[in-house]
This record gives sequence, structure tokens and C-alpha cells, in this order.
Amino acid sequence: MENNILELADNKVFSLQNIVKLDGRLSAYPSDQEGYVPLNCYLLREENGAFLFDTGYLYHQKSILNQLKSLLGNKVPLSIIPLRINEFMSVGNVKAISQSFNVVGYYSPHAEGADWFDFTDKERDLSLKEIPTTIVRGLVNCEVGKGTGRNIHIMSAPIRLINTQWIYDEASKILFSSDMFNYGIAKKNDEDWSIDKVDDTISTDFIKSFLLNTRYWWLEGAKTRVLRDNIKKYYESYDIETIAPGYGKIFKGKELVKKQFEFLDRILLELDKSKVLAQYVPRNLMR
Amino acid sequence: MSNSKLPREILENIFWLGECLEQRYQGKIYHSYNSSYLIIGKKSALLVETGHPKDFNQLHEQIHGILSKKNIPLKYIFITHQETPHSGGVGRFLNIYPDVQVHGDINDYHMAFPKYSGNFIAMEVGDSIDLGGMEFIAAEPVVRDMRTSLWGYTNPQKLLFPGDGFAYSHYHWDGHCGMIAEEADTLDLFDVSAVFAELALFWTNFVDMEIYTKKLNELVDELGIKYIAPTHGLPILDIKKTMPKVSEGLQAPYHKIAS
Repeated sequence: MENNILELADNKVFSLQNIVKLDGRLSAYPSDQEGYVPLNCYLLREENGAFLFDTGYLYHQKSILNQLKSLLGNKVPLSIIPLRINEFMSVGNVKAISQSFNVVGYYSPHAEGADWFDFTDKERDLSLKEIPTTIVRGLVNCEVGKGTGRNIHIMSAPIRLINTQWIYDEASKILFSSDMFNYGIAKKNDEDWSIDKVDDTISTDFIKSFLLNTRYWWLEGAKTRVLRDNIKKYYESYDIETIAPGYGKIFKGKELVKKQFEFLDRILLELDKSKVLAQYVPRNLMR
Repeated sequence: MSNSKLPREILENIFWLGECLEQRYQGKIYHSYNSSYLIIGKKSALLVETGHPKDFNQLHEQIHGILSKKNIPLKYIFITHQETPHSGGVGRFLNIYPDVQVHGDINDYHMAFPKYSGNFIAMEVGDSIDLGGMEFIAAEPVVRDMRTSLWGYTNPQKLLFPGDGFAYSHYHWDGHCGMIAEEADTLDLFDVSAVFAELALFWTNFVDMEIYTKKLNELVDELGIKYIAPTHGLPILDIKKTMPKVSEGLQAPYHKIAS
């Protein structure tokens, strides 16, 4: 891996990774979680066009711009899709990337994407408003590079906390899962940042606790049947060989992918209102 | 004055600020706020929420106008949580007011605004800030959009700032922009609360929100809350009249799915 870039599909998909040490200061992880995780932006590339999923925190701006520069000239038409438009981890560097590369489009649940991306400097960069926005609602299919026939499918995540998109890339068979399947955590900062065989430290209990202590505190005693149905429908609709989350290690291999969906289904079943009584969950309650 | 008909002094020395955000739903154009509130104490001022990134200039103009008249310095910002419509303006405020302390749950901000990581100060439920003649106290966030949400209220006014709690849009076409909830008499509070919850608070579709509305009532009783200043909804100055309708709306998505 060079420059913290992980090539996930030959010349087609790259993970731009920035490693962080967990110290209780990231809302995406349990407050007592230790270890190291990659924060992932993903570049899908063809000769005549590219897509970037998420743009990272401002803290990693220099690194992300360098990573992109090493993979993409400033002439290739680039479209940006923040998978969680309300979150700094997704939108922190849209402005800087738009100013440095040939950004030709934003994909957003809101009509004026540029209104959501500018957090720095005394004045807004109104030139961002000239970049057109494609509204993402329901299922949206689009092509990476004009005339390549390489399609990606963008849709609302079937399980989420805030406004979140999942994306499936037909060419690489990768599901980009944003803030689900984020529990691949390293003990040391020089481990592999993808997992390709069963990891015994990742168990149903561990994942359940991870979910309840992060974005899914509300699941205990919830009506999870609809969620399970929608996730199952998604899994059965696409031939997924890799799960690429917005943060955390990447899961590679059909069997491993299947196992993660099975884990999730089992946990949701265990947490269903038919099995557990719903209770008010106070702030900071750890389970 | 902007299109939003703000700023407006909703209680003595507490100003409602912000801009409307247009949202299309089922062929209609709804408006909702990404409000901020400016609290002016005898010694210092505190801003609750820093608004949507697009609104910074208007918001700052509103604040500057009030602070100039009152001659009180802005010393504190309190943010209810890390989503950009609530905290997107914080970097720009710190560009202009570099000595301001930003309080709340401070997860993520060192990554989002690394230049200002020293300005962020963690608060927990019960912690308070003295503004001179009034104080701002952190409170349990009953309806959360992130696990790191935190609410606050003022003493002695007992005005609650619930962030994404009490979230609902309003009818621009009926002139509701800038109105208190009780003034917007044609607003179907149940309906707009239900729609907002269904679309923006995904989890409320799957959870029996009676548990949470019960907790809300307990919090209001325990803290003696008299008024509510939500980030997305219109301010509520008559809790007895308005809160039951909003609570019913919050429960509606779950009942819809259940049926």
C-alpha cells in the first residue's frame, strides 16, 4: 500500500485511507473503544471520468488532496457523492477538492449541493454553486465515465441514523456501506486495513455492543422486521464481493460478506420488540 | 431583516435567529428553520447553534446587529450536536471571534476544525455557564440525532434548547415564517411533526416513541421548563397547548409502520 491508498479493484477502485487512533473523541465509535481505524474515501476511476465517495475531515485535507493527485490528473471529470451529507467526515473537503480538481457534479439529497459544503474562510466560494447537483432520492443509477457501461447504483441505506446513501459498483462488486459494517478495528497501526478471512474477535456480541454504543442505540426493542426485510432485499439484489465502509476495515470475499449480513440479521432479530422490551436509553449508557 | 422574518426577541434578551430552508414534499414547498438563538446575559452572550453553512452571512449580520446595540461580548457558543446544519458555521464564527469558547459534546470537532481544536470545551448534563444574571445548563438529550447530542436550558427563564427535538416544518404560503408556534394557527402541528420525524429522524419509524415522549414530559417537569426553542421547529411559548400535538406527531411514523 502506497501513500495509504488501497487498490480494491484493478485500476478501478481505490480506498484513500487516513488512519486514526481511537481515543474517545470520534462520535462514530464507542467512547471506550481503543485501537486504530482507517477513515475511507473511495475513488472509482475510468479513463474519462471518476467518482469520489466522501471527502474526509479537514484534518486530513493535505493527505487526501495528495492521495487524489497521485491517482487523478486535474483534467479527468470528477463527480463527488457525500454518503452522509450532514456529516463533516463526508463533506469536510468537498470545497478544497472542487478547487483543485475538475469537479463536474455533486450528488446530494438536496437540490443545491454547494450550499452544504463550505465551512472555511471568511467568505463562501460561490463558484461552487456553478457545479451542478444531481438529486439523489430513491434509487439512482449512473455511469462512471461517459459511454463505459460501468454503472453504479445509489440508494438510501436500508438501515441508518442520519441521511445516508449506500452505493453498489457493478464492475467491482463492491458495496460502499457508509456507516454500517464499521467494526473492523485494528489493535496496532500497522495492520492490514482489509479483512479477507474470518476474524474471531468479530462476534455477534461484539457487533451488537458496537451498534448499541454508536449510531444504533435505538435498536433495542425496536420493530426490526422491516429493517431486516429491506436489508435482505438489498443483499439479494446485488452480487456483493466486498464491503467497503466509510470508516473501519474493509471486508473482502463473498463468504465474509455473507457472514456480515448474517451477523446483522441475527442481531436485529435478537433486538426485535418481540424479544426485548424497549426502554429509554439515556445519553452515555454503555451496553 | 431577511426573508425568514428574523431576528426576533422571543423572551427578554433571548433572540431567535436564522434562515428558512425550503423543502419539497409531495408537491408542496415547506419551510423549516436551522435556527440559532442568542442569549444576552449581563456579562456575556452565548449563541446556541451556529446554523446551516449557507446561512452564515445572514446569521452573523443578525448577531452583529444585536450585540452592537446591547454592547455585550459574544463569549460562548453551545452546539447541540455535530451535524452540519447545527455546527456548520462554527469555523467561520471562530475566524471572526477567535477567543470564543465552544461548549457541548465535542466529539469530532478537532477533526472538522483542527485550527481551533483548543476552543472546544466538553460539557456534560448538569454543567453550567454563567452569563451574568442568567445561566445556561446542559440537559439530557431525550430525542437525539446522534449519540453525542446534548441539550441545554436557561435559568431563570426555563427555556429549553432541544436541537432536533420538536422538529417540524411550517407553511411559508400561510405566512408562518418568523411566527411562534402558537401564532401559526393554521399549522397542522401533528402532520408537520410526523412528516419531519418520518423523513429526518429515520429511527423514529421503528421505535415506540411513547417511551421518549414520556421521558420528554418528565424532563420538562423535572427542570420546570416553561418554553422551548427548537432548531428546526417554531419556538413554543405555550407548552401545555403545543407539546401534546408535537409529541403525537413524533409517535406517528411508528404507528404508520405498525399498521
